[in-house]
Amino acid sequence: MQITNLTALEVGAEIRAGKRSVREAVLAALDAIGATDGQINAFITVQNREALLARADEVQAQINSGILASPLAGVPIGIKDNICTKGLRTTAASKMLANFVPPYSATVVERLEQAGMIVIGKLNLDEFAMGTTSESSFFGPVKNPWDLSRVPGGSSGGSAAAVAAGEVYATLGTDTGGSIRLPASYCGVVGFKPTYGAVSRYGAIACASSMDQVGPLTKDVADAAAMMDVLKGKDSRDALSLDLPDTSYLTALSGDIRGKRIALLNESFGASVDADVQARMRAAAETFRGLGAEVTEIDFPLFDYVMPTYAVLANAEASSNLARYDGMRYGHRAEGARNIEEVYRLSRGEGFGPGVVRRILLGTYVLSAGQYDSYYKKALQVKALIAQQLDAIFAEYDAILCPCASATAPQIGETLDPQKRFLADVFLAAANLAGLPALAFPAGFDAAGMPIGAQIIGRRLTDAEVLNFGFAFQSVTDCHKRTPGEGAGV
Amino acid sequence: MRITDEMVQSLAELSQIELSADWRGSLAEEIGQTLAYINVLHNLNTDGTEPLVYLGTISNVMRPDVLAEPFDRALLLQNAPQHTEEAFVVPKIVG
Repeated sequence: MQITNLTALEVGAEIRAGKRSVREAVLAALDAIGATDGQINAFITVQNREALLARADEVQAQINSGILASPLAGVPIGIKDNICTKGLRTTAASKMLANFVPPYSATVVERLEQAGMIVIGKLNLDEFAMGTTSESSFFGPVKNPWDLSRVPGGSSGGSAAAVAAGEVYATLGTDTGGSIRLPASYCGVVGFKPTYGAVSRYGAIACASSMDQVGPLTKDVADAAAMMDVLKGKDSRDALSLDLPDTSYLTALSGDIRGKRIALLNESFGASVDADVQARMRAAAETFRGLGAEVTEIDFPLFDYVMPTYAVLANAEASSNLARYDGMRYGHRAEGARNIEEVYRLSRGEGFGPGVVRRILLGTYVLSAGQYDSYYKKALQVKALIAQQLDAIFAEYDAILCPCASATAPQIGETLDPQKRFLADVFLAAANLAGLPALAFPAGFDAAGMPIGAQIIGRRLTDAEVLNFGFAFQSVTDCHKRTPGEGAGV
Repeated sequence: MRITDEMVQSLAELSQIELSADWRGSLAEEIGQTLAYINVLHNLNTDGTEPLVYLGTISNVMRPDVLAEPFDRALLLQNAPQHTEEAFVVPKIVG
């Protein structure tokens, strides 16, 4: 079997068994990127070849001497370019940070490297992770490997496309309102947003801090669980990170979901949801029933309030977080400014793209005197009601099942209306508002052969259980094994 | 409420972002549309509901007060648009 068709755990196992070398895995990734990324544009930066081979040899020696025990040691991965990597340019896909070289690595990157994984490069995204199509990058749009005329979803579009195209075996994304799960769904890969606090945010460029989470995008659920085993847990540099039990999510995958109660959201069958997506949700429900779970259709009455609430909170927090880009200590500084005020205004005006500016202004509006109570405070109150309603659902059910998106990936340029783009997250943002773990996994294809993703949302801190639902599903289905190479894509 | 070009300009000033005049009009329209959508929140009665800021149980997080490895100054300065060997250089602030 071609090495790039293997999963991360399979490559890791072959490396440990001596069937393949770390060098071979790295070279295969570089070859795959060389062959396909000119079209897909998933990578903003690829590491220097010589440096990668030196790192491969170092990791190989540590595996050979038994120092590295992780099942993912030696596996080539990619990192979303809003996660800091020491000495390796980190741009957030913005002109503002086009030349920024972090003096430190994010905790998640340190942990992956300590486990012996090899960071091949940095992945394209919507500017500052604000978007649902990965078209707003300063470095050009990402294309969907299944059909190059379509978007990969966003904001972690490069992270999903690189896994779907077989360029690397696993990637990191960030998810503030669905930014891991939407591209995972559009690109036919697995994407996992952990419980808020389960993974350190230190070194992840802040978007909306009350919802930002880092998580993995992978070829299957077992890989996602293995990545989580490396990523999760307390970090003294992120005060909101959680002290989790040191149990392995990977070994907890049993595939046994007998007797589990799943709530299938009736909103999955709303008028705005494509017929093919509805059909795959019904089929997914049947698959879960076949695995011994009870599936019950329920209403989520506050469903229509999720996106308005998210819009207020995400933009308010983003406007505050992005205040730090002032052209002083790092980032873009405009030429010709005559005083300090002009440095701020001109640098920010030149450095931020239109989507980022729109969100900063909207966030500033909802936080401004006179609007604060009617928008920001109101949204926090509705968030409380949404969290209560989800708690009530989880008092009766173990998980919620719904699609990731109402339709498959749109054409590039199709959703230029910001409002329409934004609504792509309608099934996704509730998990962020309430800090819940949520898994996107392939559930089939539409008539055009484009991937459809299903989503399982769980109670806070039931990450292992959420992953197990996906693992059970993948143990009796094979749509996650199809690759774009077999279809119309690259 | 209708968002006017003047309101957009005022938000841009609060946000310290220079906007081209010809963009203000379309931004006003886009922000107005998003606010119209957000206004659905006002249909929901939230009287007596406490705003939910933090998820889960948050308590003060303490750590030992020990020296950690500081960042290398040269490494921090290398990202600055303008700097000397030991400091960031910014335009004159006090006249």
